[in-house]
Amino acid sequence: MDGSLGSRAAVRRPSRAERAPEASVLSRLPISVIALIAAIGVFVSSVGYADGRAGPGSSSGPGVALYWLGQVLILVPIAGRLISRRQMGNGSTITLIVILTVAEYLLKVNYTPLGFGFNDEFLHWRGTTNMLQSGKLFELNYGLPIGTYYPGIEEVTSALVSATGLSVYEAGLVVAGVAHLLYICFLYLAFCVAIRSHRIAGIAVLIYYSAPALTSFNSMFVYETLALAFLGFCMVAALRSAIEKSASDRTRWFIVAVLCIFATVITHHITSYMLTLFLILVAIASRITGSRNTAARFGILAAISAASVGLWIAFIARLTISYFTPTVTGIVDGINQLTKSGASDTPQTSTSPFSNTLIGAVSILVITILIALGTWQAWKRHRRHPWIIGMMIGCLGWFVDLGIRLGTPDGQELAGRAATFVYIPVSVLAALALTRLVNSGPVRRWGAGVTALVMASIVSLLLDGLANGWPPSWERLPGPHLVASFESSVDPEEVRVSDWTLANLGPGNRFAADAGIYPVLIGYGGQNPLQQIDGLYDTPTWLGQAVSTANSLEVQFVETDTRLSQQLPAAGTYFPGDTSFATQKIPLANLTKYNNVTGVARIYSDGTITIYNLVSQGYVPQKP
Amino acid sequence: MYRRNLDIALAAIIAILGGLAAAAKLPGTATIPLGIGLFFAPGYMWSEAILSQRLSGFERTITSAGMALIFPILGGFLFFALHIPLLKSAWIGLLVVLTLLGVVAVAIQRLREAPVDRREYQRQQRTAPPPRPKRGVTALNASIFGLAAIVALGTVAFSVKNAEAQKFPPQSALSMAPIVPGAQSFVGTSASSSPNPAADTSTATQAHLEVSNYEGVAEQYRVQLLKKGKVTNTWTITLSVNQSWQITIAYTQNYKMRANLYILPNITTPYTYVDNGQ
Repeated sequence: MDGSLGSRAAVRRPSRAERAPEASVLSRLPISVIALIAAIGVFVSSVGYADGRAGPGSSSGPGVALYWLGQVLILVPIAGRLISRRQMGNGSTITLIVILTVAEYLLKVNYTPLGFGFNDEFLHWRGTTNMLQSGKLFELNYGLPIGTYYPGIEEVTSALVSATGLSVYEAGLVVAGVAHLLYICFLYLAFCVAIRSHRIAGIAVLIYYSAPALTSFNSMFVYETLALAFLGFCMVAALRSAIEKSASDRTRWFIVAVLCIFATVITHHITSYMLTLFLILVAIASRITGSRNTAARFGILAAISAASVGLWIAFIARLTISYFTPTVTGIVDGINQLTKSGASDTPQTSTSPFSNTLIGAVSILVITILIALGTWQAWKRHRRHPWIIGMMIGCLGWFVDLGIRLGTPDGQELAGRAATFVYIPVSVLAALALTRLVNSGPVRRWGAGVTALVMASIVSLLLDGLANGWPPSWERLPGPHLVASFESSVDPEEVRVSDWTLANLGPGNRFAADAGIYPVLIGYGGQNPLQQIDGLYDTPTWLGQAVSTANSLEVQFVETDTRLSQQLPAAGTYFPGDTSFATQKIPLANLTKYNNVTGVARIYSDGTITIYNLVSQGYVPQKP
Repeated sequence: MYRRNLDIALAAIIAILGGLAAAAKLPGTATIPLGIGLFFAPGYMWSEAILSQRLSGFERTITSAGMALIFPILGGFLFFALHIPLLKSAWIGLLVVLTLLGVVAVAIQRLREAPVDRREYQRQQRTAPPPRPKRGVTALNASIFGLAAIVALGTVAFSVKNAEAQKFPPQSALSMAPIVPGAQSFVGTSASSSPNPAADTSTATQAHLEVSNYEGVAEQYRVQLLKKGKVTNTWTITLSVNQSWQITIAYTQNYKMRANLYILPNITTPYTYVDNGQ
């Protein structure tokens, strides 16, 4: 025994229940064959994407079917092998997890293979480009002012670009991909250290894959993706700093944990808070279970983390407080409303097909049952185990998450984002329950039927994570342009127009633009697009509301897109900052009215997108 | 002994070569692999230096990669505190210096380590030798893994080609952008600077008139410039796919200016137009 995590997990002799008296077909597949099947799955889903691009987009029945078939090819063999009772080594478990992570990341890359597509990715692209050009750390980012004060991902990408000469997009893909894979691997290691079973740890990671944001937001080129890698690293380092036999080794892991804390605090706000919470949770659980040394170690790390967060906000990122105030107020109000009336009257700002809602409801039920069974298991078998008891307490977050989902504006999105953290304890408890269930006497007696049922439940959990995650069903496949709808609105035209604005107008102009081109104008255009500018598009004449909106927001340039008069936005709203669904298309006259306003110059037009210059109207601050 | 310290020598060589390649702006075939090596080298060396205990290959790999991601963040913040601009040279210098410091730290650490007890080492070698799979099976598995990697990477190439071939509606773009000194160059944005002050076009005396062809085929265009409603200039141009044409014209906001773009042979209805708002 060499003290490594892998060996710790591997050395532990499998319990009687972990042996496999019978094995399914999946459990007999060599790992290399599973890798090949997963690669074919990526190919099949990519063919689905190609079918979407060929014209019909997400309305392509065959394309969508191919996408899901590919996902089934990726998920089923891996899930089957991980859940199987057939004994599997630590290395094989790691390989399966890596295959799953890489396969899903490749699908993310293949969705928009020529450049970033999601809003936040453009914002970090701009942040990195600014840093490379100016050499300064806290460069203003119009689209993500808060991100200015959390420059971790920009720093890492800048260093990689400088060392390799890769483009920001290529380097961003490498950074996001490596960080995402590291997060999953560290999570697995943390589970291994804590649970002391690589089998249960593997199943826990598998269940964690049902977190809706995992394969999307948490693998994009955004600051949370990188911070999560540090969170996972810190979890491992903190656990090792508590359990290593040698004092020297404990100190060394402690140093690494502190470095991870600093890196997390500089990289992403929410993740640093969650890391602090995690450390506090394990410290409390250690105290409850009588592990005083562990409690002290985690307590000190929690104090360092809390102090780092506090100092960072106090001296660097003061904007953080005002940034989160509306979100926190919304959550509190929503939950108050929910507790008073039993139902929330918060507006819904997104829709999903009934099938997604149904699979989501089934998943909630399955996970809730697994949490209950896992809690029972944890209390019955692991009540002296600080980490597992900590995770048991952490599972209360699941119910808070449900409350957010039901009771707050944009609850679905908020709950989805929070699930990244909530699912950590949930997956541990669920894995304990599932392992117990699979190994139980009745299941072993009933054999293949029940195993298939368990497999179907787990795969449905994973599919729920994909179906109710990102991208939404209306842009499941890449395809033709959709107005004001995230990736589906980013075509070469939007990129060209944004490049044109930077080259001809300079950076930092105050733009009114629809939600589709908004992030591209910030990213490639370096512009300062504004929110809540619908007043500029609500009337067919240049009077009243339009004039007052332009005046109050000091708008310099207005962008119009004739397609706004032809389509309703699939994402629900036409303009950034809108809070209510658009129910009618914008009349063309509302967009073309600027052609007839004296003093408003029409400076760019490609027949679809037009840019008007309002500067000479005198609404904006003139040159000082 | 030499084999045991081969990693130190390799890391030092990669760091120096990577730094030189990036500084000398060598072609991507040299810069990219060496640069990636340079990027991850500090993480490996400091993972070895701090976590000197024996870790499995998997653990060593991910702790090295994790630390490689941490160093630019903490190093960048340190440079910020020291008022060192985070330009390319600074990043390369940081990575090279961190790697070389790591080399020194690991070398010292290994020299300090107690010599391995030979008997203990032999005992460890004897006990529980891991079962080795048959060579044929290993080769077959490696081949299948290789095939899987080829298929997976092939999907990226397939998707890139497919996305490049995606059809979008044909377009032609026309613009008339007043030239405002200072507005067109990137001046940088910082939290302390005021919004772009150079956007006042009312005093511009020149403008760029530009046409771009995104129709997917070569097109012949006619551009008409009208001042006070009268045609003053006409240009007939042919542009291949994604080609642009640009000319600098006199500009004012004292009277009406308008440019019409026609796609020949249609010279009756302009495809689009731009104006100065008068």
